[in-house]
Amino acid sequence: MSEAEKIKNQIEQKFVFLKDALRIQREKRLWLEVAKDKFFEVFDFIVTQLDFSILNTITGTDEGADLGLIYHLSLKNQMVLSLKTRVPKEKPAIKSITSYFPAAAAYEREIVDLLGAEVEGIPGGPRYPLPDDWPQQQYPLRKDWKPEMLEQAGKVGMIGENVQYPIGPTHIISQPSSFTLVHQTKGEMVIPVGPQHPALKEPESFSVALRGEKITGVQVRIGYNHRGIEKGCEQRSYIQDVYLVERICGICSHSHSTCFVQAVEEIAGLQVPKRALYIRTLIAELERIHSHLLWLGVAGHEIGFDTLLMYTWRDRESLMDVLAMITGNRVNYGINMIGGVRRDIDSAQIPEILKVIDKLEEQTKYYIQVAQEETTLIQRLSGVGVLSKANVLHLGAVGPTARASGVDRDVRRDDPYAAYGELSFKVVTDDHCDVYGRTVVRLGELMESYSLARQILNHLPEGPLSVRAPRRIPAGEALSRYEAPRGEDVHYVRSNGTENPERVKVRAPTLANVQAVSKMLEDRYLADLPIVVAAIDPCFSCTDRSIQVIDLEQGKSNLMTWEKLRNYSIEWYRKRGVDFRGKRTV
Amino acid sequence: MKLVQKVVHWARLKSPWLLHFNTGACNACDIEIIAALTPRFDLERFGVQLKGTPRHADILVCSGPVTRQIKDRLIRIYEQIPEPKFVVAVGSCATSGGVFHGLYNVLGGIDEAIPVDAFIPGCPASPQAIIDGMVKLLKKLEESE
Repeated sequence: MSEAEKIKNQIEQKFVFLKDALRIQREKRLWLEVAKDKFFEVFDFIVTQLDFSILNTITGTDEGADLGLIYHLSLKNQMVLSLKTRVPKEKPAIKSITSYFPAAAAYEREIVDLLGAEVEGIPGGPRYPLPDDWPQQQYPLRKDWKPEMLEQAGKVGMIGENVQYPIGPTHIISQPSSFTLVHQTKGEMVIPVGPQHPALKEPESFSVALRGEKITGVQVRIGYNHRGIEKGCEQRSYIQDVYLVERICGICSHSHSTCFVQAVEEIAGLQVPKRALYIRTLIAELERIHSHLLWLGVAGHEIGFDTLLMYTWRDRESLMDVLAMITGNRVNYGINMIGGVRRDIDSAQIPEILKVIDKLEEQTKYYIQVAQEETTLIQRLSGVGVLSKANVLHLGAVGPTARASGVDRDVRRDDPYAAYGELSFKVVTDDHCDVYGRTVVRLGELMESYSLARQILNHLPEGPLSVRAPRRIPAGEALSRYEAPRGEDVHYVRSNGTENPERVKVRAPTLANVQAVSKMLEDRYLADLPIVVAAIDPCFSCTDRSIQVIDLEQGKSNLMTWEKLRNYSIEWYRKRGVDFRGKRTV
Repeated sequence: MKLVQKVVHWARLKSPWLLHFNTGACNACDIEIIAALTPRFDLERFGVQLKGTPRHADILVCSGPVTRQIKDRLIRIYEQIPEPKFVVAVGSCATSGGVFHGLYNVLGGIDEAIPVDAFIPGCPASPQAIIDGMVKLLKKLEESE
């Protein structure tokens, strides 16, 4: 009996009314719908007894008279059970699951804002993801909602207008000004970092409460980059959507497009040719290399080690040339199409690519040596931004952030997609639990990615590049997972037999990680903020962010830029003897 | 032109400082802007430097379509830049909304919110294109006075 059938039996034994309710789509994808009154009983059993202890995301759907809520839970990061329930639109109330998964708060806020569900018991915090001055009773992901309704409601995009929000028991929303305070007690300062971080895929605003130099609380406001791509996907055809989801993020562009096409291919039942899967995997690994090199440089910049930034970005350019050679584009590769890939790799290109990989491997070995021997680097990164293993499991962090705390999870191995099932690689983990650990993990992953790219290039199977995909995708639903450079990326796609999807839900890895940042900053110093935030790799770059410092005791406020904060952090450590100046690292 | 004005004009052309601002972009253009400043392309040879605050900047480099949440922040930042100021819109989205045109939280190009002096198209605009756009803007400034 397979693992999935065992789970099915266990559920049926416990709940008689769920006889034959569980649908096994394939060994690793289970679907179950439960009525609302029995939902929490079943949910509790599945989470606590059957050990489905990872929450991938929550999808909200519009089902006509009802709202559908799908909780995607996974067992040991391998099998995903999607537990669905319905709430009527007249009274769309549901209890929060934050007592099981604190990280569910972000996903629940999405359902509240975008679909108008009433989730009882989400902890207070700023609004997400819609703008502060979004009018009431406007839920963009409902099928009957049209953008024209916004214009009728007015109030959107008005500058400096202090609109009051409905502060209900379920969701506490910040005021329009970004100076919402976390703990407004005497003697504490609150500095809003943000709201805008250029070069972020998910810009965020941190309100940091300080006592002296110590951080006592952090509040995160995200959603500045909310463009409404999920709704946009419903309005466009599948072919257009491949290019739209590719532009969710300009660094993990291949991650999102692969994740999306995998879901659509699963619904349509397409058998993608092997060569196409190998090419997809190759681009995925090259993307991981360029993303990790980029991160290494940015991390170097944040701690005042600009030489590293210039070195890694110089090396990265040779890889960008390779990507441009293979796909025709430097960044948004556009290599995926539903049913395969668009372009082939010819045999003359392979030695060129291998040459670049050899060179990069050589350089990476040098960076590993720097990370092991350079005392200043070790001092700046060790013990900073600590996130224990228990906290990773509790807060649901993903990717290198989780692996650096000894959590051995990687979708590539646990739930193989594309060609990963046939390739050999090891999942890099580390138990430093801090920013140093995250650096070690990313450096280790670079070496693994070089080896994966070599395996693919040396054993590229022959065959066609794509199969013909129908323009209309038959009705169905699928959940697709992908290990992006920053962690697990999840796409849920539902089709209804037309040219356009019925619902596309995206959970990018940074949303899972950003919630752990406040934990990492607890009881640390303001000087650690830049590198801790950069260490989850929210595609951080080195430009501006305005920071306003408000002294609550004196009521004074002064403006600090991100650069000033960075310099402050470098000086702070310099006074304590940690300094990159006057060192020869080359 | 007085001597002081000449010196100021010369200084402005030789050291245009940038403020980079993401107005809802997918990050691709932002990374390409940074790439343009790193050793391979080295935009800094034109005296260009990326600054952290609008009050030090001459040129506002925007990427991405203007989202509803970011619009008033963009205007606020634009107002903080001292005169004379210039705006460069990098990428297809910043030019017209690009692939995001028509999404509910997207207003369109940067010119929906503030006046723009130069548009650099591309999805994302390559570092070469960004350098070309910057040089053209500087040429325009040189001729204008």
